[in-house]
Amino acid sequence: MIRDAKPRKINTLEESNLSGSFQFLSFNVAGHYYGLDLLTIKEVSLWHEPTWIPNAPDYVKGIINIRGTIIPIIDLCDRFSLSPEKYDPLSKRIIIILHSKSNAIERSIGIPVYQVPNTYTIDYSDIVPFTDNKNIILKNYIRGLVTIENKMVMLLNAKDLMSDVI
Amino acid sequence: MPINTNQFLQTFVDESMELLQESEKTLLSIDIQSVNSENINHLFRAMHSIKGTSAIFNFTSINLFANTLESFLGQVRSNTRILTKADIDLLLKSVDCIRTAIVNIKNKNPINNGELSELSTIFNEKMVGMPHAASDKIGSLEKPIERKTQKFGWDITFTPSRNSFQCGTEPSRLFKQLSEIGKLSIQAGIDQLPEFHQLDPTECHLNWHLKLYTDAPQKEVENIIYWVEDKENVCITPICTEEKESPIIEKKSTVENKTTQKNAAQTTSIRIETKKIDSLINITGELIINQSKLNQITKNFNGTPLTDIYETLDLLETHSKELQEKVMRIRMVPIEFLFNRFQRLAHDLSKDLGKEVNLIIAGEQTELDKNMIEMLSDPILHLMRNALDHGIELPAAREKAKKPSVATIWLNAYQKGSHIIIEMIDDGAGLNKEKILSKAISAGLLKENQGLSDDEIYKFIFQPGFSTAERISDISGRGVGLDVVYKNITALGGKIEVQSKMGIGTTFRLCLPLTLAIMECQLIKISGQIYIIPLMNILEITKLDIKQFNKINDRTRLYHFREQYIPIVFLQEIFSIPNFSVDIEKKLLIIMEVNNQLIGLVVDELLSQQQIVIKNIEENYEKIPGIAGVTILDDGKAALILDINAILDFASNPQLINNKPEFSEKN
Repeated sequence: MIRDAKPRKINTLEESNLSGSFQFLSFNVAGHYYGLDLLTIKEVSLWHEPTWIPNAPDYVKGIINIRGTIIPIIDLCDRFSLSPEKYDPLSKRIIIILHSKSNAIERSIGIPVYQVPNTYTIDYSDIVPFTDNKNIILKNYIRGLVTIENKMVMLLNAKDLMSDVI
Repeated sequence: MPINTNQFLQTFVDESMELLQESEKTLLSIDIQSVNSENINHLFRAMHSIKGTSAIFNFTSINLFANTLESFLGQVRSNTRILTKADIDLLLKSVDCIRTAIVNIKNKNPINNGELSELSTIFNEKMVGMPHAASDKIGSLEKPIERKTQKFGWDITFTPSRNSFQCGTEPSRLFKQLSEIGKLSIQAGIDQLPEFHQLDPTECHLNWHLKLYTDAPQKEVENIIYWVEDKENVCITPICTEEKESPIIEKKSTVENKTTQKNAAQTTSIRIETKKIDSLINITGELIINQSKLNQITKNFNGTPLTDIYETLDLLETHSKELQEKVMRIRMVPIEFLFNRFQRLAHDLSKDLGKEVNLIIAGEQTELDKNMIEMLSDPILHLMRNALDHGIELPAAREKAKKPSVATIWLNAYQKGSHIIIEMIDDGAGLNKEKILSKAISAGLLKENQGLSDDEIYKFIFQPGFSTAERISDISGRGVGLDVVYKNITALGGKIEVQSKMGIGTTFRLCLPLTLAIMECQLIKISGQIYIIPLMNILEITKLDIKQFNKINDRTRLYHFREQYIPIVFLQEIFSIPNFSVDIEKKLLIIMEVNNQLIGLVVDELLSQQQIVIKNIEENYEKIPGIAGVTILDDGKAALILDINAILDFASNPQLINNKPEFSEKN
């Protein structure tokens, strides 16, 4: 089970992160690759159908219950104005739960993805700073670029994503 | 300080608050005619503890003040002082004073030493002026032998002049003499001592700090000392008066202030009986056993009958239900904490008003949700003030009405089914229906007498700004008390009942849910999603009859129901649910009541009624207008609890229904 395996993995990676290398979780949304600092990933959970909530921005797909905690679901497709994802209804959809502390209060959000994510370890020096002044949305979210297996991965920051809903 | 005491500060605050509360209770229960020594011991111990703990945290002013009180109580305890009514009031004031100081500590504000030292001075003067010793009924205990053991005495600073040795002064002789009249502790001060090469052995460079525990009068002590020393060199003070600061006093004596201070004194931590925790551990252990049992069964599963699994699942259900119940119990605290405050209020207020009142508290062991207790403080306070000020007559009027001159107020709590009932009964004048009616008519709330029932008439007293009092007092009569009561109680999901008989008295009965965390609810379905409505808001559920459906404009519709036109709302509209069309065929209508107003909600389907646990959505998301909270359904999905109050607002002001600018219309 993914849910069981990931947190354990994160625990072991956490310590090696102190050495200066950067570990991130890479996932795919509508053909684009994104990365999030592994330390901000709380867990990877099986799909929960979100409960629709009123008067919310369109990228907030609703709320789910993860063992008693109510977590909003943010769809990056809508957030980043990507063309809607074509997906096979039989493919496994999962939710990445991020958490981050702001003002000593831990907050969580969930991001739906279709593929089981991978983790990578890179050096900080491998990160290319992202400078794009035209697209405001992306400028505020993408903290850097990195190339993994000849693919560009956009590194995101959990706090930025969370500031949209809280 | 080597140890970080900050983490214990909360404990200190909690503990002191508890001690103060107990002391207050004890003080109020003291009967001047026959003082129970156990009560005095109790107070003495409380002050002793506060003295000790405040010293640990370096709160010198509290420490010294508690010490003064301890000495004072020590005198009472040893029967060298008779407690008077004034003393008790003074002690009550002291308790308030320490409480204020501790609240300040809690809120990290500076302590106002002025009031403490002022009170301290009063006590010291009392003690110095003493002993108005015990020539009382208990018999004279004025035996000199007993006196020596008393914890009362003098603080003597003794700084002999340089040439005192040449005058033949021998300090050691003086000390010896002093030690004959009491217990003496001596500390020599060597701060004036010069370097060795400058030392003149014929001069006296030392000074002494003496503590003499005796109750010999000042004169006796002075006689011994002044015989050997000049007055200028000696300073005699009663023990624990080191702190005589300029008495800056901010008099805060109104009852209002006292109670708000008490509100501030509420702590956020909760004390739990170990018994409760033990039972939790116990039941958790059972759950673990259950789980491993299930593991084992599934591991060894070979297609044989499922009876084992069913049995274990049954057990699991029982255990988890028990666990839930017990966890809920943790939040429950006896209502005693709340009720005890009112003893004091009744005491102070009745004195101010010149009325005699006996407050009888019953059922203080009834347990209530802790949050609820905090939110009940104000409503009960208002009811109590109301009863004391308006309900209870002056002693003379009571005697005229052939009632005992001492009035009685009963404050009672008990559990009835899934509700907690709090009753406040007074034997005062009762509500005057005629007066309420005429007031309601003059205030335009009501046309000429429409033959209202008693209940309907009494409802007016909960209207904002409604008061039948001819005069406005400090305490009540402004017409802002009872509407607060009504608001708070309804906010808690409770109800108020009023019963009254002219000349006999009034009963206010608050009917409250057991806990705030669980709510009795109706599940409904609208546009394919489940929503939750608190059962207490639902008045009636009926089939929607199209013939009774009237449109005023695109957004406003009225439904003709039992001779009334009730506004109807569509959740789809309020919440901008996508793909919505006003379709009223085969729908149900839920008639709800909020703040005495009716509103109808069109729903697609009626599901079950359930007890739900309320979750906070704001933990990870912003507040959603119209949503009171979230709960988790049996299938683990989150469902929204409707905030009927807000929905009513939306219905009356459709412009409030905002489409957020970010909201995309493309859906």
